[in-house]
Amino acid sequence: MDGFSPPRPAAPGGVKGIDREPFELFLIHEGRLLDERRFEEWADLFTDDGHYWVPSVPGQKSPFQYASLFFDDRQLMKTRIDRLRHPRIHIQTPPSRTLHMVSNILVDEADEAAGEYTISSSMLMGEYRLDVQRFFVGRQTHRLVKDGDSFRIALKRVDLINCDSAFEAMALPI
Amino acid sequence: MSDSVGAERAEEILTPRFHNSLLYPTTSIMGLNIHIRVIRPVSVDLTEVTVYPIRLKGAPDEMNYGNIRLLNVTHSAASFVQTDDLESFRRTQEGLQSTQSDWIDLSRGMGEEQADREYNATMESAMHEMAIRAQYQAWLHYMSDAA
Repeated sequence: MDGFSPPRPAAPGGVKGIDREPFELFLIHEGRLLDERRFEEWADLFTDDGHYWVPSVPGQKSPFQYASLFFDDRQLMKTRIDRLRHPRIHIQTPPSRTLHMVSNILVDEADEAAGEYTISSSMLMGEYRLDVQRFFVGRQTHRLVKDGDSFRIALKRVDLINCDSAFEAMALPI
Repeated sequence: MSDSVGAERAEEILTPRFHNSLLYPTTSIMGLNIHIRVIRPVSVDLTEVTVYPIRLKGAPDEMNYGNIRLLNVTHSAASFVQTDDLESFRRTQEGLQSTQSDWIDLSRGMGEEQADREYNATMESAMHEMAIRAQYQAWLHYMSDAA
């Protein structure tokens, strides 16, 4: 995936000969950090120039030409998290409970020499707050770079199947 | 800008005058951050608001990108501003379910309005409810004129 272009369909089964397990464990860990409201640790998964992006248009090609639901660099992530930590944030008083599920994980692209990988997966996040439960469903694409035994996220892109619909407030990263 | 229109005019152009402009009944232009909002009442307890960023003809790409990125931060459903606004609307809607009073009290700051001579308008603290009273007065005025 070059820059911000939309994810390409993976070859059946993804790239051959690469163990999916480390990527699967990483994505499970990432979702769990969000569910446990460990937002600072979640942001630290990203590279210094990493981005978190949730487009508002199906197949959106650029975060600069169209508005997005989320398009955060590390600076904006920090502001978002500082706000989530504020004791008087209305939209999280009381806080939501969330649960992330990740499945159908495939290695779409791999450059083993450079330690760069594009991982696609299906995601589902359930959110419960004030007697209302709702679900976000989408395909996510992580551009990961090898970092010691683990990875860091250069880009997390979440394409919600209803990205162009009207939404109630979304306080938490998906 | 100073080179083409002079320093005084450039200063005037770059000094924001209006924060939001409301065009009754469904449109709001955010002059400061160059977005247009379209407000669509769907039912008594549901309103859909669509926000459009504006790309200015001839403006540098960086400026148009900046406007779009600002919209993500201020008015997307996941933005820093809109999320708390929506929660306020939700709580207001919940409060309005009360059957204890037929009236909504909008008197905060009444009698404390001041003349704004520069713009030939009236001003008051943003924490007061003058703006809401003024909107209803304008609505009544236009509706009465039309009748």
